[in-house]
Amino acid sequence: MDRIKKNALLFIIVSFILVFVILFIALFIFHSSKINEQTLFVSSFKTSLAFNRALRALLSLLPPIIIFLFVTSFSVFFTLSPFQKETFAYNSVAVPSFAMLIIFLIIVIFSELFFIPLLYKKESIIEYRSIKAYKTLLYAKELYNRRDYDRTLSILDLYFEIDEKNKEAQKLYTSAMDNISKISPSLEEEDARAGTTPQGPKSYYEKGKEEYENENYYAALFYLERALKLHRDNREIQELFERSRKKAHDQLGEITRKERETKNLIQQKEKALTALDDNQLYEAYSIFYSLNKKYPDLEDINLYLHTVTEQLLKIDFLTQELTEHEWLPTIENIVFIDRRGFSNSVGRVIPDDGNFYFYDITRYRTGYNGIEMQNAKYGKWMEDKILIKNNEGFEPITEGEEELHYIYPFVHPGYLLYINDPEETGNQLTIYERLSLSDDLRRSGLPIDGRLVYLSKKLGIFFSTWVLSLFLSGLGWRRRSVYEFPPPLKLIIFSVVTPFIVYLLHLMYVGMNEIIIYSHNYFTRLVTERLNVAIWVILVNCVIAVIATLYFLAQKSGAD
Amino acid sequence: MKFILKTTLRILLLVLLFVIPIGLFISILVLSQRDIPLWNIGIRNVMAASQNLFLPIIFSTYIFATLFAVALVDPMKVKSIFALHIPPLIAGGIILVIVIFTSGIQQKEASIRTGHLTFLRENSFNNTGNSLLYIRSKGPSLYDAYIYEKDYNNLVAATQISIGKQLRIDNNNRRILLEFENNGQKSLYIFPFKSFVHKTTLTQNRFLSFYAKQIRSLQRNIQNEYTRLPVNDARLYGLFMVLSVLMISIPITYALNDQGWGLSGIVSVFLILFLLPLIYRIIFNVIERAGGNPPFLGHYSYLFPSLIIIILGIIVDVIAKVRGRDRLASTKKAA
Repeated sequence: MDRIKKNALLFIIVSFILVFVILFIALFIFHSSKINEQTLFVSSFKTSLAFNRALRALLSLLPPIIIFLFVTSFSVFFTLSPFQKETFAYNSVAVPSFAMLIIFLIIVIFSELFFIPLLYKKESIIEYRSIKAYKTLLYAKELYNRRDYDRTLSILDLYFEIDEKNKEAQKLYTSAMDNISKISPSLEEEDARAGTTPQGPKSYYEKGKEEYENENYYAALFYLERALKLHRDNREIQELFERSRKKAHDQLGEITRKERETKNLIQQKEKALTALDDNQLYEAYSIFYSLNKKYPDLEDINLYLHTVTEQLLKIDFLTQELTEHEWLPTIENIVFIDRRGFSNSVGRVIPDDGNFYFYDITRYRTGYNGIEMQNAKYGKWMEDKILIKNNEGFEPITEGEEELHYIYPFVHPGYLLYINDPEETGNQLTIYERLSLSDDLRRSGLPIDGRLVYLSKKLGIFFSTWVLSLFLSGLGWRRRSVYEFPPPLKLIIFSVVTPFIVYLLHLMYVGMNEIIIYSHNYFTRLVTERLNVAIWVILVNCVIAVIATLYFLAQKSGAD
Repeated sequence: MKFILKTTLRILLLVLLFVIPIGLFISILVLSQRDIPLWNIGIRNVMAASQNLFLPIIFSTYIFATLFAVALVDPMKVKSIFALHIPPLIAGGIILVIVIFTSGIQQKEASIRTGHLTFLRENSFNNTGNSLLYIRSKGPSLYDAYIYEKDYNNLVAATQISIGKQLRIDNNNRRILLEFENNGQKSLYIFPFKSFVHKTTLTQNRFLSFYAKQIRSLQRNIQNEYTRLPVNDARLYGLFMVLSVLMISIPITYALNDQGWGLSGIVSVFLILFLLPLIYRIIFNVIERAGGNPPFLGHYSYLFPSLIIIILGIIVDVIAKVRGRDRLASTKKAA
C-alpha cells in the first residue's frame, strides 16, 4: 500500500477514534450531570446509567459523525502536507475512504439494529432495579417496624442482590439479626442442647420409621404410603405400614364419640388420594383443604395438602401470592387487545423474577350482541396466557368457560409493560424482535410501524450515511482548501458550523425517505400493488446512491 | 455586464433547483407546527400548504439561492462589491414580476382538509395525552371504540360510532369530539388536535423547533406591522425589508467567500441563514424597548428597522471593499 493511501486510512481512523472518544466523554459528563441522584436510588448505578445513555446517544449520532468526517477529510485533511506530493492521485484517497465507508456503514447497521435497542433495554433494567431497590428497602423497614425480623432479613437479602454496599441496609440487617438472637437462641445452640446434629436427606422409609418411633402415626402413614408406591414388594415397608395403620386406627378407636367422623375422615382421605392419583388435583385439593381445616393437627393431611398445592401452583395460583408481591414496584395502567378480541385494561402489573402479576383488570368486547364486560381483581401469567380470578383458593375451570378465566395476549407480558408508550417499546426491540413480533404487537393495539416500514426507515438511515458521505466528499473535494493550512478563522467557523449542517442534512434525508415511504401509498394505488414498500424505498434510494457514488468517483486530482 | 447576467442566471437556476425541496421542507414544518400529524397528511394537503405559503417559500428560496451564488462567485471577477448587489436585484425583480403575474392563483387560500384518519390510526391505541383512543372499523364510516383514561384506569367501550355524527372533527376549535350513549348514559370526550402527538424525525428535532420559533416570531412582528399600514406603505415596508435582507447578507457572505476554500463559503451561507432571524429579532426588541420607531423619519418611521440593517450592510460593504483593496495591494506588492 503506498504512503498516501496509508496516510488517508490513518487520518480517517485516528480522527474517527478521536471524535468518538471526545464526544463520548462530553456526552458522559452531560448525562452524569443530568441524572438526579435522588431519583436514582442506587447511586452506584449512576455511572453505568450515564455510560449507557452516552453510548446510546453517540451510536445514534454515528451517521452524522461519519458524514462530517468524510466532508472534513476531503475538504481539509487530504489537502495537508502528508498528501501534498507529486505522486498524489485522487484514487489514493478515494479508494481507502470508500473502503472505510463500507466498514463504518456495517457499524451503523449493527448499531441501529442491535446495539441501540439493547442499550435501551439495559437502561430500562437499570432504572427498574433502582426503583426495586428503593421499594425493597422501604418494605424491609416496614417489616422491621412490625418486628417481623425473619421476613426483614429475607427481604434485605433481595436488596443485597441489587446493592451490597448500602450502609443503611447493612445496619438494618445487623439490627434484625441481633433482635432475632435476643428473642430466640440460635439453631446451633438448640441443636447442641437437644444433642442432635444436622443430617442429610432421608428416604421416605427412613422418615416414616422416624415418625413411627416418635409416635406420629399419621405422619408415618404419609411417608410409608409414598415409600410403598415406590417399592410395592418391599416387605419391611409393608409391615411397618400395617403397624402404623393399626396404631393410627387404635388411636382413633379410643375416641368412641367421633367414630363416624373417623370413618368419614378415612373415606374422604381415600377419595382424595384416588383423585390425586388420577391427577384430579382440584378435587383432591378441595377434600384435603376441608379435612385440614377440620383436623389441623393431622400431619399427613397437612403434608398431602402441601403436595397437592405444589402441583396446582403449576397451573393455578393463590391470591395470597399476589398480595405478598404488592410491595414491589409496579407498572401502572396498561391496556391491550387480546386474541379473543377483548380490550383489557390492567391497573397494575408487577414483574418479578420471570413472573408477571396483574391487578384490577377490566375487559370489554364489542360484538353483535352488544358489549361484554368482565372484571377481575387478580391475574398471573401462566406459560402462554393470563389466568384471572377474584376469589381466594383454587377453582376448577369448566370446559367452554376458558374465555372467562383466561386472557390470551398476542405477546409475552414483558412486551406489554410499555405497550402504551410506542416509542419506548419500539426503541427496545432488536431487529429480530421487530421482524417476529411487529404484527402481534400491532394486533395488541400498539401503534408501531409494520416490519417493512420499519426496515424502510432504517434503510433511510443507511442510505443517508452513504449518499451524504459520498456526495459531500465529492463536493468538498471540488471546493477543497488550496492553502498549505486553512485560515484559522474560517477553520473555526467550518468546524463549528459543519456538524450542525451535516446533522440537519442527515435529518432532511431521513425525512425525505419517510416521504418516499409515504409515496408508496400512491404508487400502489396508481401503478401496481405488487411492489412492497421496502423494495420501493431500496429502488429509489439506490438511484440516488448510484448518482452520489459516480459523483464521488468522478472527481479528479488536479485543480478545477 | 457579462458577469452580472451570468450571476443573475445562476441565481434564477438555483431558485428553480431549490424551490421544491425548500417548499416541501417549509410546508411540512409549518403543518407540524399547526398540530396536524404528518403520517397521513396526504399530498393534497401538502400542495395546499405550499400554495398558502407561496410567498414565504419563494422568498426563502430566493435568499438561499442568492447567498449560494455569492458564496460560490469568483472574487477575481467581482470588480466592485457594490456591483455584486445588482444580480440579486435583477433576479428579485424577475421573480417579483412572476409573483405578481401569478397572484390570481394565490388569492384564494387553499384549505387544509382533515378527517378522522388524519389523527387516528385504526386498530391502534392512539395516544391523546391523558387517554388512549382505539377505533376498529365495523363498516363504512362505522366504528367500535375503546377509550382508556390512564389516570383512573377506566376503560369504556362504545359501539356503532358513526363518523360525522358520534365522531366529529371540529376544525374551528381544533378538536375531535366523541359522543355516545351506553345504557342510557351519555358520554362526551373531547380530544384537542395538539394532543395527538405523532413525532417524526424532522419535527422532533429541538434545533429546528427553536429555529422555527424564531422565524414565526419574526413573521408575526413583520405581519403585524404590514397589516397595520396602508396598502402603499405596506408595499414599501415589504420592499425595504427584502432589500435589508440582501444588503446585510450579501456582504457578509462575500466576506466569508474564499475561492481558496470554496466549501467554507458554502458553510457560511447556513451560518448567515441561522443568524439572520436572530439579528432581526434583536433589532426589533431593541427598538421596542427604546419605545418604538423614532419620529425623525416622520410618516416613514416604519422603515427604521430596515434602514438600520441597510446601514449595517453598507458598513460591511465598505469594510469588505477596503479589505479587498488592501489584499489586492499586498498581492501586487508581493508580485
